[in-house]
Amino acid sequence: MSVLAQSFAMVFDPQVLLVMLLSGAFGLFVGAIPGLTATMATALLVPITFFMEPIAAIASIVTASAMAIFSGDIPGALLRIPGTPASAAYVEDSYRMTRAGRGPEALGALLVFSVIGGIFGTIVLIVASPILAEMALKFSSFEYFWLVLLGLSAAIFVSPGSVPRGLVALIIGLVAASVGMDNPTAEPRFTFGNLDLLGGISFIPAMIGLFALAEVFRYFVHGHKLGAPLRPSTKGMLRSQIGVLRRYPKQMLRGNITGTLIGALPGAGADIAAWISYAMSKRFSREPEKFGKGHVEGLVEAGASNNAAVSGAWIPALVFGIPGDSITAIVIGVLYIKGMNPGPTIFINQAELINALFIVFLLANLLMIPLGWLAIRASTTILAVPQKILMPIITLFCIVGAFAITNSVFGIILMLAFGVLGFLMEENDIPIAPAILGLVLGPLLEQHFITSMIKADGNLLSFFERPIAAGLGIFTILVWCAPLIRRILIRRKEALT
Amino acid sequence: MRLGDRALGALTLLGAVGLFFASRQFSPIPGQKYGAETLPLVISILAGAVGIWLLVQGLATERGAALTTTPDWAREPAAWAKIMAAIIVIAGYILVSDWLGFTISSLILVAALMLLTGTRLLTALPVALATVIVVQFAFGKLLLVPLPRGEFLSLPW
Repeated sequence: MSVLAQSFAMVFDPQVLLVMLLSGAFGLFVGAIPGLTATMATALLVPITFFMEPIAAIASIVTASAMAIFSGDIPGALLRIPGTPASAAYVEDSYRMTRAGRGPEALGALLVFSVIGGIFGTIVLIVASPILAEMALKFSSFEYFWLVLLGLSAAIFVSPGSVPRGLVALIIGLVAASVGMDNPTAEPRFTFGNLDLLGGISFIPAMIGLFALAEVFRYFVHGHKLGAPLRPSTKGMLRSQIGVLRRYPKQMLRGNITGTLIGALPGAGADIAAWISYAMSKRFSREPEKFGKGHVEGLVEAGASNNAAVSGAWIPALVFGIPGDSITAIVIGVLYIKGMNPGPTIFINQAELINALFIVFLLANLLMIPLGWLAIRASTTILAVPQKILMPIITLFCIVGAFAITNSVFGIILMLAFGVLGFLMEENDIPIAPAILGLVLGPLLEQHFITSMIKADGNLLSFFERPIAAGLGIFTILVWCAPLIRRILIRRKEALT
Repeated sequence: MRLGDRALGALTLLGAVGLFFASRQFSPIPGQKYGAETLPLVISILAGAVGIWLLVQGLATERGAALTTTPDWAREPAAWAKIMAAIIVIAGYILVSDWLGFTISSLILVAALMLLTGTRLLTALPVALATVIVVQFAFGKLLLVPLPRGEFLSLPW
C-alpha cells in the first residue's frame, strides 16, 4: 500500500471520524460561549487525547480548534459578543448586518470564508511549509516590532468615523495594556497597590465589557427605540455566498494570503492577521464608507484571514517545533506524547502520519460547513427571545464569561468598568475596535521594542539594519504618510490643471 | 453628554500631561536606555498630539457651538435611573456572589434586570430560574468553571 493510501486509511477509520464529529461539536460549543476560547477547547481535550491513537488525538484537536475559532464569530454577529480578539475586528459589521435583517449573509460569509481560509492555509501548509518556516525564522524582535506597529496602524483604518477619535480609543487601549507588572522590567505600573491589577488587564473581560455589556446599557437607555434584530433565516444562507464570492474574489485571496503568512510567524497569530486584513480591506475598498456600518466585504477578507492564520500557525510548529500560537503550543506537547516529534525529519520519517494530518486538516475544514450550519441554525433561535428577556440573560453570560477567565470576581469588576467605559465611548462617537487593538497589541509592541533595544544597546537605527525589518519599517512609515502624500499629489495635480 | 472635539481634545491633552508625569516614576532597565517608562511615555506623546489635533479641528469646525451636547435620552430621568440601577445590580452581584453563591446571586441578578426591562414578575422568575440552572450546568458542571458555591449555603443551618 502506498504512503498516501495508508494515510487515507488512517483518517477514514470510523473511530477517527467519530472523534472528529464529537470534537467538532465540542469546539463549536466552547467557541460560541463568551469568555471561553479556542485555546481553552484545545486544552480541555488534551487529557482525553491520552487515550487515543495518534491520528485520532491530533484529529480531535485540529477539528475542535478550527470549529472554535469559527464559532467565536457567532455570538459576535448575533449578540455583539466577539468570541476572540480576532473576531472583534469585524464584529461591528456582522452585528449591524444582523440588526438590519442581513444576518444570513453575515453568518454565511463568516462560515464559508472561514472554511476557504482554513483550506487555503492547509494547502500552503502542504506545499510550502519548509520555505515559509525558513522565512518565519528570519523574523526576530526587530521585524515583529514593525509588524505589531503595522497592526496598530490598522486602528486608523478600522475607525468608521473621525480619525482622531479612533486614535483616542487606541490610546485608551494602550493605557489599559500598560497596567500591571507584565512588562519587560516587571515593574508594577498603575496598579495603585491592588494585587489583582499586578497581573494586568485581561483582554477577554475588557472585550466582553466594551462590546456586550455596553450594548446592554445602550438597551437600558434607548430601550425599544433600538428595535430588535431580526431572527436570521438559514434558508439559502450558503447559496447566497456564491454571489459574495463572485463580488469579492480579490479580497478573499488577499485575506487567505495575509492570514497564512502572518499565521506562519511564531507569536503573531490570527488576531494580528484579522485586524491587518480588515484594515487592508477597507483601505483598498471601493466603498470604504460602508465599513463598520454592516458591510460584508470586511467579513470576507478578515474572516478568511482569521482561519488561514490558524492553519498557518502549524507551519513553524511542524517544521521546527516552534509554536505559531497558543493552540499549536499545546499541540506540540500532544505531538511529542504521541511519538510524532516535530522537526524537519517528520516529513521523511513519518510521512504517512504527516499526510494523514494534512487530510485531517482538509476534512476538519470541510466538516465545518455542515456542523457550522447546524450551529448557526441552533444559535439563531436566541434572537426569537424578546429583547427585554434576552438582555438580562446576556448580562449573566457576560458575567460568567468574564469570571471564567480569572476565576475570580476581579474579571467581573473589569468587565463592568469596561462596560461603562464602552457605553461612554459610544455615546461620544469613539469607536470600540481600536481600543481592543491597543489592548491586545500594546504588550507585544513593548516586549519587541525593549528586547530589540537590549540587543542593539539602545541604537534605534538597528530597526532598519536587517533587510526584512527595513522593508517592513519603510512600508509602515509609508502607510502613515500615505494620506499626506496623496494630499500633496492631488494639490500638485490641481495646480498643474 | 457628548463631548465636542474641543472638549475631548482638552481632556485628552490633560490625560497626556498626567500620563507623562506618571511615567516619570518608572525607571529604565539598569544599564539600558529604555524600560518600564518607555510605553507610558510614548502613549503620552501620542495622546498629546491627538489632543492638539482634536483641539485644532474643534476650533476650526465648532466655532460658536457648545462644548458639549446632551442627547435626548440624557434628558429623561428614567433612562438615568435604569442605567444606574443596572450598574448597581451588577456591582451588587460582585459584592455578594462569594457569600451567597452563584445560584442565588445570579437568580436575583437576572430577575432584577428583567424587572428593570419591564418583564412581568410572573415571567421573570421562572425564566431567571431556568437560565441560572442551564448556565450552572453548562459552565459549572460541563466546563468545570469554579462558580462560587457560597458561604451562605454552608452555614450550619
